[in-house]
Amino acid sequence: MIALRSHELRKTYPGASQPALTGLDLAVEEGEFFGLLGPNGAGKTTAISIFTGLRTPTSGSVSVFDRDLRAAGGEVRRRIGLVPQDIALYPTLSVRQNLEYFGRLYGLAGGELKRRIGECLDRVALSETADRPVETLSGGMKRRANLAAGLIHGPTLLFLDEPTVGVDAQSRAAILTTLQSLSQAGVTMIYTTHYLEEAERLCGRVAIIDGGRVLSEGAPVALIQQTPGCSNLEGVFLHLTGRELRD
Amino acid sequence: MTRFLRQIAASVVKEARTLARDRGGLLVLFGMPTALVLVVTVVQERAMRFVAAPNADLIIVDQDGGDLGPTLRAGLESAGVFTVTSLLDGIPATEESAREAVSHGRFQGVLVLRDGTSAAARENAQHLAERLLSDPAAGPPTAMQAGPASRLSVWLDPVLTAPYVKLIRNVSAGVLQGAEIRLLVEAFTFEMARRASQRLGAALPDAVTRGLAAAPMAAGPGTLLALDAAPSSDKAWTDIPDSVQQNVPAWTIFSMFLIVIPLAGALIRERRDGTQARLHIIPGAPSAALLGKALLYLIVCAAQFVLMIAIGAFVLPLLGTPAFSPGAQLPAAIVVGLATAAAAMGFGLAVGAIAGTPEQASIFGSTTIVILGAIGGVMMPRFSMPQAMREMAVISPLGWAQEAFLTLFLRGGDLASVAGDVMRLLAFAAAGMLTALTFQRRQG
Repeated sequence: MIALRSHELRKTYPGASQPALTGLDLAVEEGEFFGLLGPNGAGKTTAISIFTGLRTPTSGSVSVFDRDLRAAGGEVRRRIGLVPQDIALYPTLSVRQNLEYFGRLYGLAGGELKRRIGECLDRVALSETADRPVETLSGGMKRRANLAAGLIHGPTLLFLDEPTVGVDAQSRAAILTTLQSLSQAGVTMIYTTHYLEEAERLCGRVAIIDGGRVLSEGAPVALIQQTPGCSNLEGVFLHLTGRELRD
Repeated sequence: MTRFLRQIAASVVKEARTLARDRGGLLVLFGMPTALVLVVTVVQERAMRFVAAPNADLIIVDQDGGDLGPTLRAGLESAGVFTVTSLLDGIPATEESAREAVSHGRFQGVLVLRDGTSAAARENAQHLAERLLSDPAAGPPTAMQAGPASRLSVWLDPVLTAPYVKLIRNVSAGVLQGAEIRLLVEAFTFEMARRASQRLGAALPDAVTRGLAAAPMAAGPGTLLALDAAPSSDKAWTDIPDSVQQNVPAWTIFSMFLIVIPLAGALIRERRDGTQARLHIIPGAPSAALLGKALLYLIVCAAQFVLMIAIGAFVLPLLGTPAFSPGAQLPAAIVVGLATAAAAMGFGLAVGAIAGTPEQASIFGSTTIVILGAIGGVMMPRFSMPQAMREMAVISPLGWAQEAFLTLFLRGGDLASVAGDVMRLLAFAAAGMLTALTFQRRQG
């Protein structure tokens, strides 16, 4: 089954001189670990915002598990999880209280909620610090807590917008291990990052986008082989998007 | 529906936990209004008493010791404007000590009756009566005919305002005039009775004649002419509030509107740190989160209402003010309180939706509340403002709430009489929520 499909997706923000998306076509299979790569301003965050229903496209369509996203009911939307680029948690509340709140919003309660909180805390190795306010945690801990909040309801389609940005090597390794185990458990992952070696290691398939459209798409190994003179995904990326500095 | 209600309940709990950890926010919502109502009420208590029920502390230095001193004192006390004493720190005041006390603001004025004033005044009256009855064609009495007047000295505190000085002088002059008339009537009656009994050849003893002469004045005021005063409508008096009745509802309203700062701040932070994005992908969560906030802040407003009423009723009297009394209209006051809370919440949601940063929301919110509060009669009673400002009060939701509370607490109004203000507050709340929702949709 196709977990996510976008067709001719276009988005122009009011007052913007350039469109953010200019006809984005993507199809992600259920269970796939898919990397959405691109330089700053390529349209990655806009695409994820539209895929999760946070923004509406100017034109085009998005379907999730073969259901049009706009028409999809709560059952389909509850299968979607989001780990935003920002630490989207209440800083004065503890990690446990944050997970409890988001879990309750998803309809979890009682023993089931407790079990899910415990599982998520274990997954991100925060059980020991679960009762500390988020604002007192280190950057890496906050990133892991942010990931845990995206997992609380057990999503089967998880969007991750640069989940390892600004964390130390240990936290990054822990986050990537968590993501791999989720992928092995069958969760479909759509993942954006600027760490191309991460994408090369984790993703079964990537799409390199720029200017709001897909420049190239395929398995990292295949893309490297197809691009002359490139020995890694970073080389492919620079080959496709250029070396010009971006804002 | 049950699921949505659970989402709302979860949001209320989350907001309560967040607020409980926000010491600054709690200080703004509870500490600041408490300090304001205590300080401002006590500071204004004296001034408002002057305006609401003019009162001055006078000290009488009676060097005369005659009957004029007690007469004047009784007259001044019965005017209801003065509190009169002749003692200073427990001992009879001298002219010097009394003037010193006035110069230090302990009293608003000192009245000195010099030795022999009563006798001189009585002698003048007697002289005038004899002169006029001996020569009725002499015309109306003049000061020259009566001889030099007995002069009383009054010193007033220089910080008193001109209208207040005028009030004191007019009341004092009225009392003096009453004493003068009394002396004149007694002198004329005595002289006529003495002359009549002499002509009849059966002269009465002076004591009896003087008793007869005093009789016409013994009847007291109101015997010949009476004044009936009644409210101009079927309501009770449109009274000027005392400091407590003015300030307790005023600062309760002000404190309720202060929820704008934490409420708007919370909304902006959610938008900026991405938690709003997380909420938006959860079915039903954005509305539940908004309603959860609204409910929590309604509870906060209710707590503020109870706190301020309790301060007015139990704490302020310990500081020397009258106790706040909500009277029999507490249920209607609760309705006004809820409508005020709804208006404050609507305003907070609108500010939170429009402002870009918590700092902007805080500055804009607090400045607007202060301005609307000042216009609406929260800082100073509306009756003390210039006419133009009073007319501007119609645009202030804080003014609508204040007017409704004063109608209930002072004018004996009921729920029907404040229905207009309640409706205005609810419409303001609805407009705020609509603005917030419109901006939220545009941001999507």
